[in-house]
Order: sequence, then structure tokens, then C-alpha cells
Amino acid sequence: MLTISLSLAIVALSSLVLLYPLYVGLIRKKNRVSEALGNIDAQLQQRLDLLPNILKLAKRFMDHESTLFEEITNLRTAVSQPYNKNHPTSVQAHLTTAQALTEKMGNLVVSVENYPALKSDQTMVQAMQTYNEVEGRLSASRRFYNSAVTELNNAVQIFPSSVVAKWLRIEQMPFFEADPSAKKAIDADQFLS
Amino acid sequence: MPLPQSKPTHSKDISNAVRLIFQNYIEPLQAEDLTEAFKEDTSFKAHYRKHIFPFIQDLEERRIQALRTVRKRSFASLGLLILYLLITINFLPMPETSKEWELRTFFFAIACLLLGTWALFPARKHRSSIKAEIFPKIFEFFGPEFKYQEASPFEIESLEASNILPPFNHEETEDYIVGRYDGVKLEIVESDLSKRYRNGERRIFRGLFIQLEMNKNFSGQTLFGAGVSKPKGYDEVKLEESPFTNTFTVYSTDQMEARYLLTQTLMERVMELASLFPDKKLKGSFYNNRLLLMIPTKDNLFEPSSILYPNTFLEDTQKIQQEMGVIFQIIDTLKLSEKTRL
Repeated sequence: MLTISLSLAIVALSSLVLLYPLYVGLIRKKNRVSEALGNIDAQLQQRLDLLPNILKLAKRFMDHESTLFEEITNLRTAVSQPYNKNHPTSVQAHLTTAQALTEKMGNLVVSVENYPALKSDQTMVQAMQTYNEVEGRLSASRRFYNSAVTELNNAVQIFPSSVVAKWLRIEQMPFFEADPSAKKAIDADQFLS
Repeated sequence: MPLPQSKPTHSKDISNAVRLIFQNYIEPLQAEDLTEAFKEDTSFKAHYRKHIFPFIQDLEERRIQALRTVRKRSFASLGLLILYLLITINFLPMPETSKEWELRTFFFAIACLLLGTWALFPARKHRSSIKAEIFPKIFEFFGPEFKYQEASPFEIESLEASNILPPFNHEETEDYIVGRYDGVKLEIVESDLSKRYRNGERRIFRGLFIQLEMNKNFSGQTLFGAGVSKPKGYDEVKLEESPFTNTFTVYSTDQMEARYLLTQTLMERVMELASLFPDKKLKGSFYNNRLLLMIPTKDNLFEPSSILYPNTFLEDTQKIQQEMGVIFQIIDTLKLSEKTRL
């Protein structure tokens, strides 16, 4: 009886010793993803704070782009909505909306090129420089997030940490991917015709 | 930046030295060396033709004069040494103890050293005059704010905060270049770091330090290098696979900022810079408001080629232009001159 109890105790202790590092590793990876997501949100917030000024300046010169301004304003509202950072679907929706806003801002930047007066306005130049800086930091946050998600997803999928992940209900997280249109080859005819 | 040693091998050096001594032969400047300066019309060649080419002939005459003086002094020194030996053998008693032999040998060695220094002095003086007269003109091509000086006011100890310096207790610096590109202050210095012990000295590093001062302050510290060890408080930054990440390891106190700084373009520029130097064991550190690059080199840089050969400095200036170009691209890529409200 004593031998059986002792054996069971040893098995339990050994399991704990083997499983504990996996548990700690998973929690660390999950927290790293949260940290990276927090970084993205911080940069998104900075971008959102810049947008009203940029739109105000652009509206003064760009009379015919009201549709674009409306889309940007709606996306800005959507991105600033709270979301569940631990739920992959919620995170995916948030990142997709953020990426859509990036695409629309890209369209705005291209449109600014058609308005020389706006393009050379000093306040606009400074605003765009700051905006580009934020986009650079957002890009860096995205790379950090994707690196953290890679590590987490690897741990969630690969045995034996996948067992611990299932037990802790830690799921794979989505990557922050570039918009598919950004991956298409550029057709010069579009710009030259 | 390594001056091209398009260069003569040791055997050719010896052969030219022997021909100088025994045949009074000095390799002359060839006409085709001079016409090279007029073959293309670039801004760089225009600068060379205006500011450096006019001095080539005068420097060539001074080189030949210096070599002739070295030859005369060498023969004179040899004569004096022979005279010294004759006097000591014929008029001084033969040394009897080993201590007396040591003393006699010591004085002979001192005599050789002093006479050798005197004989070679014109060559060293010529070398220094090239550094003082031609090198500043080479760097002026990059802008009026670019200055070169042989003696360096730079203290390597001031770079301790970068966390990429190896431990050392002795430094020698020379060949200091300072300038501004697009508003960014740039300093380059050649340095030799060593550790001195009671019984001797061991070289720790020899090469270039390149420091860029920016308009942005970094919130953290990021460093990269081949074989660099992780400092306390840093985490490894796992970047996307590329030639850069296959060559260098990156550590940082701020994961996001590391990725903000080390974009694909910057990593390519750094690899381009590393490829210009044979070892590719470059190290870099972003700290405070600076980027410091530490590039080991085997050769003593910024040295004119041997006095035994004529030199138009065209190849030297072209090589420096190429290497400075890569540094300017790094500044452009990092947009170091931009002040933002972040």
C-alpha cells in the first residue's frame, strides 16, 4: 500500500516537474502576444489621434473626396471600439479593420499628390511626416506581434505543449497580415494611362 | 575606409627598395595614371580634377626628392655605423664579461635606431604631408563641413554606453573625420584597443568607429553583431529570416523599437557596408540618440600607399566615395534628419 502511494506520489511529482516549464512557457508566450497587441493598439491610437487634423487639412483642399473622408471616419470609429484581446475572432476583426484603415489612408496619401497646394502646405507636410513615423512604428509593432504569435502558435500546435495549451484553453491567434491588394504586382499602366 | 592596396606585393616592395638603393631607380608616374582623371565627367571626378589633381605633380616631385634623401642618408648611416664599429674594435678594449657585451650591443642598437630614424625621416615626413594636404581635400567632396585630421580628439571610452565595446585599458586613435550629412552629425575614427598586462599587451580591436547623431532619442537600446553576447536586461530579437539575421544576432531592451529601426532596407544597407570590409564582423548599437558602428579591419587605414610607388590618389578617393555613399544611405534609410513630434 505504502509502495503504491509512494509510486503515485513520485509519478505526480515528476509530471508536475515536466509539465510546469511547459505551462510557464505557454503563459509567457500568451502574455507576449498580449504585450505585442498592446503595442499595436498604442500605435493605432496615435494614428487615430492624428487623423482628425489630417482630415481637416485635406477637406480644405479636396472637395471631391467626401466618400473617402466618410470611409476613413467610419473606420476610425470602428478601430477605436473595445474588443476581446483573448479571443482570436475578436482580435482578427480588430486587425482587419485596422488594416482597412491603413489602406484607405494610403488612398488619401495618393490623392494628396493631385493637390499641389495641399501637398506643399507646411502643416500638412509636418502632419504627414508624423503620420509616416507612426506607420513605421505600426509596421514594427506588427512584426513584433507576428513574431510573438508564431511562437505561441508553434507551442499550441506542437506536442507536448499542445496538451497543456488545450488544458489551459489557450488558442492559436491570428497573424496581422498585409491587405491582399498590397501583395499584388503593381500595373504601371494604371498610373500612366 | 581601406585605402586600396591595388597594390604592390611585398616582393615588389623589396624589389623597388633594392633598385632604389643600388640603381638609384625610382618608379615614375605614368601618363595613363594621369589621363584616368579625365575619362568620365562625374561630380566626383570634377572635384578631384579641381582640388586634388593640381597637387599631384608637386607631390610626385617631393616624393622623388624624399626618396633621394632617404637613399643618401641610408648610405651615410651605413658609413657611420661601419666607422663606429671600427672605432670600437680598434680603440676600445674587447668586452670580457657578458654584461660588457650586452652594454656594447645595446649602444650599437641605439646607434642603429637613431641613424635609421634619421635616414627614414624624409619618407615619414612625406607621408604626413600627404595626410595633411590631400586627405582633407578628399573628404571636402562630401560637403564643406567635412573635416579630416590625423590626430584624433575622440575618446573611445565615451562610447561605453553602447554596450558593444570589448574590455580594454589602452586606446590609440587616429584619422578622425567629422561632418554633417543632411543635418546628421557623422564622426569616423580609426582605433586600436588593447589590454596591457604586466608582461605585455594584447590587441583587442583594430578598426573603425562610425557614430551618427540623430534628431530622435531612443526609448531603449538595440544592438546587433556577429558573435555579440547578450548584455544583462536585453532580450533576443527574432527577426524575419534574411542574410542579415543569418550573419548577425540582435538584442534589445525594446522589441518594438528594434523592429522599427531594423527595417528590411536598413538591414540591407548594413549588409552592404559589411561587405565592403573583409571580415564582415561588424557590430552596431542604437543608444541614446546615436547609432554606433564598430567595424574591425586587418589593415591600418587612411594610410597613403608606399612611397616607393607613384600615386594619383584617384583610386583612394573613389573607394572612400563608395564607402561614404553607403553610410549616407544608412542615414537616408533611418530618416535620421527628420524631427517628428513623437
